[in-house]
Amino acid sequence: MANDLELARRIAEGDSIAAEKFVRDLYPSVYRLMLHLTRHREDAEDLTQQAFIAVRQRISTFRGTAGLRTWVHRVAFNEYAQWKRRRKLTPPLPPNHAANDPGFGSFLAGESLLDALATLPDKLRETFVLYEVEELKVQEVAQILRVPVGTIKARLFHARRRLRAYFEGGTEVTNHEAKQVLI
Amino acid sequence: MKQNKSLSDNARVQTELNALRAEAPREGAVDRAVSAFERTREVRPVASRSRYVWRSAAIATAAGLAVVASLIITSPKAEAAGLQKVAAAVRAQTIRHDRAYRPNKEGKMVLTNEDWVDGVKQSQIMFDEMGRKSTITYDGRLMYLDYPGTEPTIDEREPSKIPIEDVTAYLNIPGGKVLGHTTGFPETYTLGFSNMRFTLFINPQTQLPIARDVVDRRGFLIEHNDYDYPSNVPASVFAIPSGGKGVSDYPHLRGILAERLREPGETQHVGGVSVTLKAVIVGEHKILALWTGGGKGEYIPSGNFWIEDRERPYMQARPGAFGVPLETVDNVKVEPDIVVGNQPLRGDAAWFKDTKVKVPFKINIAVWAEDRTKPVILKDGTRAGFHSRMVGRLRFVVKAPIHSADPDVLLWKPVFAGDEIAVSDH
Repeated sequence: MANDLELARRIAEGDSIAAEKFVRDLYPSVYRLMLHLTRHREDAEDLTQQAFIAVRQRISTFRGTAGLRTWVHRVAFNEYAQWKRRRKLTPPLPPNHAANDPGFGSFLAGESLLDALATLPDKLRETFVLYEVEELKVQEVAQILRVPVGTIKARLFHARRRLRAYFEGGTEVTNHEAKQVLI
Repeated sequence: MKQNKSLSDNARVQTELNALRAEAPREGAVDRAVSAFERTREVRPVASRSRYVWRSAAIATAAGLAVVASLIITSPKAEAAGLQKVAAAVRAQTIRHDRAYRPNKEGKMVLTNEDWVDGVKQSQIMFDEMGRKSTITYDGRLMYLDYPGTEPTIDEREPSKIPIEDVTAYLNIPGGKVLGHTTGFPETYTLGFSNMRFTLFINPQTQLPIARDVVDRRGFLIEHNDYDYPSNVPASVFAIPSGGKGVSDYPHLRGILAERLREPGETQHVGGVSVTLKAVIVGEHKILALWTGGGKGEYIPSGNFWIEDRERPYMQARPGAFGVPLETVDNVKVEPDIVVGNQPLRGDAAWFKDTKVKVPFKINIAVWAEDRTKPVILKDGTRAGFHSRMVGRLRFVVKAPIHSADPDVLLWKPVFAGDEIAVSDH
């Protein structure tokens, strides 16, 4: 954690080398998170950039109670949550819009999983993406989403179960799961 | 790489998951972000140089002398050996007392941090730019947290350790070098880094640091530290204040909650479903209602709970609701028991609005039941649970809610202390 605190301090004090390395190290992970949550490349790029701007604006408030990576993901997730709220006011893009973008490459390879993820309630999907795609620890996901670890585990359980049903068929998914909003 | 236990046997899913993990940004996107990042500055207004260099108390406290990085300092062997001696002397100290001073808006040096460490015990007092005080005290078992604007709390948690000020870390700071070394009393080491320079004042008899001055590259004093190593610490330093009104004592409150869960509670019936309200926890930003259900086929869904006279049903921000049997929450084998079976269930509903409710208040719970004879069939023929219908609603009068700064923390042990539920009705 001392490393993270020192890095935050160096960035806050204007160390451009540290700042550049910091952005380059974390950008792919934040971008992937945004991409898989929004399913839209341009939105993901915009949100990622906004997230890093927000990080720069608040870097001196980083207290080190979580890792810097976790903290950055938390800030990014806030940007996504705001985007989601704004988006409710405007017609959403078709869900497959992202896959139609040119140059999507490996994104296409994960398309059906993304389709499956799109069937999940937001909270399950967000949890699954953070844990399985971004490979964050359960504790880190809990810190990012600000819910207890047990809740994260429960969400992962439900997410996996529903995904399994999606891919394999025949596995009963109870109706209440579709309605349930886990804290 | 993580192996998803429940999905890993599906090779296609694993392949797709790997593809998602490998997704890379488009060319130029990172450069644009780097550029935007570097052009951005703190949101905080910068009135003067001295204000600019004010940094958050917590950052500076934890970073302190223990700045750590990964490059190698170029220092003569003798000076490196001298710093090693200082480091060893600091490490041998059980009790440490550090104070940090930084310039305020007027450029006057003011106390921003005071840390005490005695073995596992530690106390941190921090003042932010507004002069507001934050306190973290840990007596080896309990931690007391008091941040501005939130209710103080006491819990069985261990805070992040205040780092030992190991000056050997100086030897690993990028671009660092020894600028000067003087003997006498005090002995001094002046070390230079890319953005700052500091002078460490050492007691040559004990080899312990007694002070440090940090200046930025323009020569402004941005931090002064005083260090001392007393033989004992006043008892008041690590004393945990009493819980009670205005201070959430979680261990005590968990005892109260456990007692409530053991009590029979109030049971009501509607449409063949019984619901027993066990407890209601009112927090600063959230209200949590805990009830038990049970009985085949019944289900209490989310989104249909409201406080009468305060919120209109269906018009509020959608609250969260979560039902799990307490005894199996850790391994998340919760799903079957939420819907069916005679196991006792715990349901909780949360309101995220202003929670200043006047006691007593009324809680309404909508009760739904599943019809197991009517499965939901998706377009592809997959079964997706069962249709359900609302069978009625129940109203409970809450006369004695439990007050807790954060209901989640009361119910669950904090994230970093493990993931077990803190209160059980068993």
